[in-house]
Amino acid sequence: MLASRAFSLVGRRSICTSLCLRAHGHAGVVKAEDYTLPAYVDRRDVPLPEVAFVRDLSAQQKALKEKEKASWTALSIDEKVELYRMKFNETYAEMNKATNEWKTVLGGVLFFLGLTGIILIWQKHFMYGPIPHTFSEEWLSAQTKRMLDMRVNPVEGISSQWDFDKNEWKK
Amino acid sequence: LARGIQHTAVRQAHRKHEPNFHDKYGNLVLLGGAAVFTSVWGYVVTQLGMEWGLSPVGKITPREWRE
Repeated sequence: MLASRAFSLVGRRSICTSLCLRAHGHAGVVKAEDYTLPAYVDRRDVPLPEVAFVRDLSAQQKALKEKEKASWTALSIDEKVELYRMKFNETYAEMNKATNEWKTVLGGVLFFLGLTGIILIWQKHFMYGPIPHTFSEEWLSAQTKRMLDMRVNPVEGISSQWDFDKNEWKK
Repeated sequence: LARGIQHTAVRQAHRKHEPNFHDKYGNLVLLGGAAVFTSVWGYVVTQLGMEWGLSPVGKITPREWRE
C-alpha cells in the first residue's frame, strides 16, 4: 500500500531503471542484453543448444553457410568440420573427457590439513602448559592397577582385557 | 545418410587441447600436498610431545598403589 502511494506521488513515468535510462538516448527501444538472449551451452543433456556457438560469422563463414544451402555432397571434409565447429563448441568426446582436476583438489586438501597440523605445533609450543603429573608412567601404572583392583568396567571395558589369573593383559 | 557424414567429420575434428593447470601441475600439487601432510602430522603425532591419552591396555604394566 505504501509503495502504490509512493508511486502516485512520484508519478509512474519518472521511476526509471538503468536500462530505460539508456534507452532514452536510442529512440525508446532498449537493446537486448546478452543475458536475456538464448544462450549456447555445452551439456550432455542438451544435444541441440538454443543457438549456434559462433554468433557473428566472418565473411568466409557466411559464404560457407550459403554453400551449406546447396547439396552437402559438394562440401569437403574440412568444410563440414568448420560448419560443425561454427554450430558447436565442444564435441561430446571433448565434453566428457576426464580431467586431472582431482589431483589439484586432493593435493590442496592435504596441504591445508598439513597447515592445521602446524597450528597444533604452535599451540603446543606457545600455549599449552606442562602435561599434568597424573600422566606420568608411575602414576598411570598405579592408576591402572587400582582400576583393575576395583574391577572397573568388567564386561567390555578395561577389566575385561586383563587376565586376573595370569596377571597380564589378555592376548 | 547426412548424419553418417556428420559423424565421420566429427571424428576427425578433435582439436589439440591446451594443457590446463591440472595437466601441468596436478601431479606436483598432489605429491607436494601429501609430503607436507605426512611430514607435519608425522612430527605432531610422534615428536611433539602431545599427550594423546591412549589406552593403557597392552601398554601400561600395573604396579602396586597401596601405601
